[in-house]
Amino acid sequence: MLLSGKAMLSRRHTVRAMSAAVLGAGMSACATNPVPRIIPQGLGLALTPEPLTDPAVFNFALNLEYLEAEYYLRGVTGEGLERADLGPAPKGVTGGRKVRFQNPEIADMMAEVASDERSHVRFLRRAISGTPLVASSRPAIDLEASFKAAGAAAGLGDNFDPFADEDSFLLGAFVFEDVGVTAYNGAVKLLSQKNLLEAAAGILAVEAYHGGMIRTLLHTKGPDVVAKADKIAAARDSLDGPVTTEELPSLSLAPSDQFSRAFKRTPQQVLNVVYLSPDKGVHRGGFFPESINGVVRHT
Amino acid sequence: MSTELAIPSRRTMFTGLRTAALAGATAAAAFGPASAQTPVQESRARHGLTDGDILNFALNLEYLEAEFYVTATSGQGLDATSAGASAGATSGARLAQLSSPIVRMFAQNVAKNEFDHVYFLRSALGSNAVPRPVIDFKAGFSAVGEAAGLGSNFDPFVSDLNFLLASFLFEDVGVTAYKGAAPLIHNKEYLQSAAGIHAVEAYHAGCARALLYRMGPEARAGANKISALRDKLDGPTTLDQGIEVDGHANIVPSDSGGVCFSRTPQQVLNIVYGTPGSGVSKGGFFPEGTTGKIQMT
Repeated sequence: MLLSGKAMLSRRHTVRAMSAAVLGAGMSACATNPVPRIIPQGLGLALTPEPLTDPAVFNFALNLEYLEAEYYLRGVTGEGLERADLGPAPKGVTGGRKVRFQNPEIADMMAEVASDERSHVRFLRRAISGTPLVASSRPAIDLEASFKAAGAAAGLGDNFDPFADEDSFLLGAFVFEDVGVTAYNGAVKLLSQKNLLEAAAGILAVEAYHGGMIRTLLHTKGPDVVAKADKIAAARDSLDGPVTTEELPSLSLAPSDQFSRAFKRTPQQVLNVVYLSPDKGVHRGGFFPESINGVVRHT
Repeated sequence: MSTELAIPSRRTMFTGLRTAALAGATAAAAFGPASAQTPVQESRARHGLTDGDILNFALNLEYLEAEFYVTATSGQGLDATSAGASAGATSGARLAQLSSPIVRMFAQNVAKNEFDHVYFLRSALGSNAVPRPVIDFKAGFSAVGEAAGLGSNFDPFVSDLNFLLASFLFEDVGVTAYKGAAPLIHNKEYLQSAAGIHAVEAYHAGCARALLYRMGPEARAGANKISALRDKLDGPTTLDQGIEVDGHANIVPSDSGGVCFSRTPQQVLNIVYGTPGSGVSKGGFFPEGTTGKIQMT
């Protein structure tokens, strides 16, 4: 079991190394392209006027993947990402511990999500490392005060701890998954290269699979848990500005707009959620107490 | 006792062995130099396909899904306005006998979403929208049931389990179809909408797969048979994964990088026509083929 698992893992490393390395080569070609990307107006990038290149978009996403990977890995195994996945100057992670799952099927599903998020970290790091841009190291991540603040803001009480039990862990997962979907969906128009676009769409879909899974599992926990998830969704929607970016879990298993298209968030709106701040010009807070790494850091 | 192994041991069975081919072929093509076209992009150029042609292809799949879910939840299919002028007939669907509240909610949600997708695509395409093709659910599900080993009398409308298996059949295909189509779409607004629909299909698939996994061994075995059939129909490349792999949950079908698979329109047609190989222009759920320019595998 141990041997076969490790053998397979190393095989998987090889495959990933191949595909991501070629992807990096593709981005490198893009980076030497003299045509700069122009930021569409209305994205609120006043504090970061640099053109948002494709690798920069991936680097932004990498910060979110670090957060998700640390959350799920710590909840499932008690340990976070390995040193090799963190970049040259990683910051620390506060909080997070192994959850006592009651249902082995749910534990198994959470382990799958943990594996996916770790794969995303590695995939994005590999892809970015093939370009002149440096893949961002893991930023400082807080999984303790952040959840307490998020819980309080959502009306779940002052001591929300997603690692306390299975139901809480699903609610904590719910804080992230739909945000990942809207972040990748919001990045679609920012990406100029078709191959990167297709890769981003593939990660977008994986986050949406997770989102559907989490909403489904929340429903199996009964109306009280779903009501709490509703409050979390409402809190996210109020953090990121007046535009509707949420459909409550009690009403929908696939949150989407009037044409049943998934919602999207700009990088700034995503940061409003993960910084737990509705204000503009904010560069840290919530899950990222010292900011994220990369050119896009401000709401 | 082996909790520390929980993470490394999963999905690797699939991706380790079988994505070697994928990484060598599809990924290398897709991630090659920026100037290189993927095979699908070359195919598009060769056949002179427009964004409209791509969206019309997606519309055919949405007609199929919408008819299935809308009929399963209401007993009636799309209204004449939603199906287009000289729309093909639909047969073999009826109100589904669903009992579990979460399955009923899932069915209602997805019915609304798929109906919206038909409406959206028809609106976006305007007068270029193709009408609904002839759809035969009895023939389609019978062929799938027989080929997958679920029996030729497989009926998705009699139970939660069968309904979810049918849903599972469609949803993952929708995800891979939109992902494969994304790089083919030139117009950024269409692309954004396609990505949004793509994600909604993935939400549906995540729900269906999670529900099936929770239903136990029979449901897992059924879903895995359908997955194996899809993977067989669409050619030699591994583009599919069951919901249980090596004794573990596998709710998300994805490659070693945690990225979902893509299917070309032709591979998608192989599945909905229930026929492998190239040069096929009808069969399965579409006895007279799809409407629009993309009709042949």
